[in-house]
Amino acid sequence: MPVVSAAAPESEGQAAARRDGELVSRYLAGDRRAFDDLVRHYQRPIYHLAYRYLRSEADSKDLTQRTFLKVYGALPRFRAEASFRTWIYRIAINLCLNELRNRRRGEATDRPELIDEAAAPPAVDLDALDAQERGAWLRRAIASLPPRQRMVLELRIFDELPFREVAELCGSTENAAKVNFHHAVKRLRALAEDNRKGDR
Amino acid sequence: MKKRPEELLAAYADGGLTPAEAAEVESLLAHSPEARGELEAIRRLLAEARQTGPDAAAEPDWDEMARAIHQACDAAPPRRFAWLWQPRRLIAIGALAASAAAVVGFIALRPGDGRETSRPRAAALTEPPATAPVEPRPPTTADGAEEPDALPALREPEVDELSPTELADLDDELESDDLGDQGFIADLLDPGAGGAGGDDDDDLDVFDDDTLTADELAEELPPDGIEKIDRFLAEVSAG
Repeated sequence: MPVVSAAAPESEGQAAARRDGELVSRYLAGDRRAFDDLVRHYQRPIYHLAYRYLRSEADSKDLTQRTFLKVYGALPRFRAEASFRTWIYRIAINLCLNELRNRRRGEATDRPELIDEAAAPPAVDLDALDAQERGAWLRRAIASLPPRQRMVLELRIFDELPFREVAELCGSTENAAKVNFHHAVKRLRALAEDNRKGDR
Repeated sequence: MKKRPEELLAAYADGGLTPAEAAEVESLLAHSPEARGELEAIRRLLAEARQTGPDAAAEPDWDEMARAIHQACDAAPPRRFAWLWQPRRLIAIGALAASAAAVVGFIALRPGDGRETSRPRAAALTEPPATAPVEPRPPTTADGAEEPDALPALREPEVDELSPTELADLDDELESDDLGDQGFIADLLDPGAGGAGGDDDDDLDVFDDDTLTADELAEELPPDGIEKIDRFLAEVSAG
C-alpha cells in the first residue's frame, strides 16, 4: 500500500507564500510592478473561483476586478499573519457570497438560472454516459453539496490548497476541514451509487 | 472536531494528512477490507473530479483583464490617509481631539468671578447692535393721547457693561495666559509637570494599555503625520 506523501502540497504552498510575501513587501516599498505580478499570479484562480459560485463569465470577470480593487485599497493594511493567497481568496469568496445573497434578494430576477445554484443533479445512468456527460453530472453533484462541504472540496481539488488554508478560508479547524472533505466525497459517492442502482 | 480514522480516508487518499494521522488510517486499512475498498473508490472519484475540473468558464484574455484591473485601480480614488485607518490610531486621535475640545471649551466657558469674561461678549458690548433698538412707546388712549398714570415702559436692563478699565484688565488677563489656580488644566496640558492632577489621578487616564499615548502616536506617525492629521481634519470639517 503506497504511503501518500502529505508534504507536497504544503511545500508548494510555502513557496507561493514566500513569493507573495516578497511581492507584497516590494509593492509596499513603492514598486508598482509587484502589484502587477500579484494580479498575474492570481487573476486566473480568482476568476475560476468566482465562476464556480456565479456561473456567469461576465459576473466572474467583474468580481475578479472588484477583488483586486479591494486588495489594492487594503494592501497597505495587510498583515502577514495570514498568507496573501488565503487573504485574497477570502475577499473573493466573501464577494461571491454577497453577490449570491443579492441575487436571492431578487436583484437579479431577470436571470433566475443564476440563482438556482444548488439543484441536485438529475437521476441518470452514469455508466451509460460518456466522459463529458459524466463530468457535467459530477460538477452538478458538487454544486449540490452543502455549502461548507462544497467549499472544502473545491478549494482542495480545484485550487489545490493545503488543508490548513482550506480551514482558514472556511473558518474551521484543520481537522474539521479534513472530515468535511471526507463527508463531501462520501456524499458524492452515495449520489453516484444511487444513480447506478437507478433508485433515485 | 474529534476525528475517527474512517473520516480521514478521503484526506489520506488526497495526500493531506500529517504522518501521525496517516499512520492511524494505515492501521485501519491493515485490518479492514471495507476501508481498503472505500479508499480505492475515493481515489477513483477524486481523480475523475480533478480530471473533470470545475465548470468550464471560457478563459478570458488575461492580458486584457490585467489591464482592466490596473486601469480600475488607477481610477479608484486613492485611499487617502490609509495609515490613519486603524482602530488604535483612530481611537487615540479621537481621544486627543476630544481632550483638546474639552480644554478649549472649558477655557472659553469657564465661570469668572461674577462677570462675563469671554472676548466675544466683551466685543459685543463695545460694538453697536446690528439693528437699532426700538424705543418703546408709552401706552396711549384711544384718541392717541398718552395715558396719564401709565407706568413707564419696561426697558431691557443693560447687563455687564464693563468700564473701559475693566475691559482692559480682562484683556490683559487673557493675553497673559494666567490661568490662576486652575492647576488641573496645566496638568491636562502637561501631565508630567506635577500639580493638581498628579500621579494620583492614574485611574482617570483616558489612555489604557491598549491605546496609544500621545507620545506613542507621535512615534508611530510618519514624519509628516501631524501635518497629515491637520489636513485630514480640515478636509473633514470642510465636508
